Amino acid sequence: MSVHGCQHLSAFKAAKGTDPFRIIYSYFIACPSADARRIKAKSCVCHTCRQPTLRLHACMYCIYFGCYGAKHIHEHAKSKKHNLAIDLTYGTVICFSCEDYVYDKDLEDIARSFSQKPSLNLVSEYLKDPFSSWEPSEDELQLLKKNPKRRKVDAKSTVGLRGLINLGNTCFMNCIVQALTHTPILRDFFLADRHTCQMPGESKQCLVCEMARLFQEFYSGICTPHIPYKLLHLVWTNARHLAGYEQQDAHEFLIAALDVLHRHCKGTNGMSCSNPHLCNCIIDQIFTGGLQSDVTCKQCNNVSTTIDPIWDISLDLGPGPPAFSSHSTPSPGGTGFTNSPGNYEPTSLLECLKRFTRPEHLGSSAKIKCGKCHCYQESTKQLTMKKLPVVACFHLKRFEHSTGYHKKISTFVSFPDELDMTPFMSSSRNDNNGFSNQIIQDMPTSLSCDNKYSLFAVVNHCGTIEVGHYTCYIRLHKDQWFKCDDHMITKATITEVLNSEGYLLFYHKQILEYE
Amino acid sequence: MIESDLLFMEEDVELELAMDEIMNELIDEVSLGLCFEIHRASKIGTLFISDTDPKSSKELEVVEKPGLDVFGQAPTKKQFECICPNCHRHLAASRFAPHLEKCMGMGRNSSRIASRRIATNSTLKRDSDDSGPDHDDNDNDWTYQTDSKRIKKLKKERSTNSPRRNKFGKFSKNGGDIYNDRDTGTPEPRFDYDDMTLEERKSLLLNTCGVISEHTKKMCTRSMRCPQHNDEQRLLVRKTLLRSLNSLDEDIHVDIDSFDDGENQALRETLQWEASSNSSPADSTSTNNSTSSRKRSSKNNSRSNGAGNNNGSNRKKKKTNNSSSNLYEFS
Repeated sequence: MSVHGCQHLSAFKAAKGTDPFRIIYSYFIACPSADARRIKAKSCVCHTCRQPTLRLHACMYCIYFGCYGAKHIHEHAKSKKHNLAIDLTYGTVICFSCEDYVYDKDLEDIARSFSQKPSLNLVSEYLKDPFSSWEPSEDELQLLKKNPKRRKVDAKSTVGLRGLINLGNTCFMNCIVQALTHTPILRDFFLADRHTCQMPGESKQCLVCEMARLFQEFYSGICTPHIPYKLLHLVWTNARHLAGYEQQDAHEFLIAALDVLHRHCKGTNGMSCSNPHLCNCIIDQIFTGGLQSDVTCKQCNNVSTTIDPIWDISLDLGPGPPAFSSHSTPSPGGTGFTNSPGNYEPTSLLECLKRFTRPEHLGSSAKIKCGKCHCYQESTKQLTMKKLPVVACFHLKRFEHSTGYHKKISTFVSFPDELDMTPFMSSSRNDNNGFSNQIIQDMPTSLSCDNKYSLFAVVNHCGTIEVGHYTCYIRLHKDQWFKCDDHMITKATITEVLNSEGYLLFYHKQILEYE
Repeated sequence: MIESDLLFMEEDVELELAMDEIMNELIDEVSLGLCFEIHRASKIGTLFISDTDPKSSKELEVVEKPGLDVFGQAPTKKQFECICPNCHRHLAASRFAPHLEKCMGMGRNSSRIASRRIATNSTLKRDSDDSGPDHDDNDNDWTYQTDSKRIKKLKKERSTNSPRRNKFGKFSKNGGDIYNDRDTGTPEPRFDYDDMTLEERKSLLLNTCGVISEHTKKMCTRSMRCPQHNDEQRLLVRKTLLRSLNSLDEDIHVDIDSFDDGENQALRETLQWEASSNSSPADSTSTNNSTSSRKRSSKNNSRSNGAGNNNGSNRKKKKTNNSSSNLYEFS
């Protein structure tokens, strides 16, 4: 019932200390160098049957390796009265007197110190602080046993779901709050209590602290709706342009909320103050992507590249811009649209993204000074993703504010459950002379999961540009979908989600790289 | 062709065997690791420690029934309350956003309102209009203590047809002359409670709750039935504000039967309704009555020089009615 081994192991430690364990562990289990691994491969055979079997054990008293399967180590222990041996695969100690594997804190600490040595393997070269899962201490274990109540997000449980009261035209906020509280990596951050307030003494003014409280509220298992009045007050005080009792744009709120959160996170690292592009606050780590803009001079083909940080990707709907100059427009095979003006309306998220990353001809009215020719030249501009964010927010520009009239574009835009961003990466552009991403749909889906995303939240708007209502769908526990309409939360299906209109689409990266 | 294929296949079989062996070894090693992990967890007692307890998992099970939410609750019209972080008042959660906008004096409209107010003020000054410069300032918060930049008002509020708000517009408009008479030359008019005549106070208190907040020093401008404050508070504020009225009021007795013109009829109706407001009459009546009360208050003010006549009648009438609460008795 504890990590204190057994009486036999304690007696051994008292007599000989932990050095025998340390030596065996370092030479035959941890093997930090290539040489050590070579020695291990040669010498790790059973001293009785000379077979390199799995479950080889090393005697802790003398130099003897014996296999468990053929009971050679058992025989050794019996004949020599050496009752302790170490498993050579995982370094677990077996006590033959107790006839069981025993776990001892001192020995585990030694083992851990080996695995934390940076030269052990490739992963730890990148990871200064390797991951180890949390384990309750003995006191914590006692507490946990005394209090058996648990809150766990699983397929059949409502933990993580909470309705939000509409405070008077605040459905735009409720939707964004739902989307943010169900962002897996953000949830992990807040539920792991990783935020340290940067406003000591006035944590009531810190929006990040309020978010942390919000996460507690959401995952507490309480069924009655939450009243986000403190959040509204904080957002209003910090983003004055959003304040006011009227219907607001959810996208605008999202950006403002991220901005305030980002500002309140500041100071977490030294860099953020000097360079806003190099912030490592949680918001930037999760939401910031890099948008590369390449301007190619038509005269000399000189490319000037800039990279801008972005929090979201706003995608145009509606009729496309004037046709791109004919010679560089590849006709997309079988995708069913042409780039001629007027008749091109994207009907899927992929098409929107294609349009977004398509080279755009900057006409004679918008000449740009070329750094190489040293004069104003016509040029083409192309946007690509330099760095993908962990959470990609796509904003479908359904609200059109062109000169003189405002209207909502309600065309159906299909969006996938799973999205591969590889074609829209800057690297794809460079590989293929700049225009590879025009033929993405014909490419077989790449095997690599590096740039793959999964949908986890969709914010919808119904109504007109003046009056409407926001609802949202959120994903919980891998594939459970729920519809959040202010305080009302109901079960939804993925088909329902994919058939909804879609205003803001939230995708989460499937695989996270180490940084 | 076929032979070479077979040869290749033979080689392949060997390769496959070797690969199988390695694969099996890897799988064995990994599963051994898993066994150790589980064994260790059970030894030190953490094995099932993070599992949801059956009671909670049953309570928190997702409900999928039409008309109910995932928690199994039917949508209710239950009113949730919250406390405004700005003024610490209790209010209905669904009214929080509009309240906060005013409470914080902000909003996208605020600059527009501000500029409009400045414009209004300057024209009024030029014309030396006798109505109060703030006459269109129909915000429903009244300051008890001087606070010149206090009133923030929204254009859209003006357009709303709330009788309560209009009432105030009227009232302050008419109240303006008295105010200006006494205080001519003050560029920034103030709605100071202290500066009001008793008549003004009285008529204001006839329509509103009037309790003065400790925090904001503002008067509550809701109706008499305002749920935020109770009758004791209302009584107290009336006692304080109308104390000096007593001497005037005491001696005047007007017979209710002989005093029967139109506007007093209206007034009586209002009082009747408001006094018996606890029994909550049909809403339509209440709207009618408040319109009439608006009429009354404006007329009342236009003739405000004639001290407490109407008031006396109020008292009288209440006595006859017996249904009155002493809340409305200004003595």
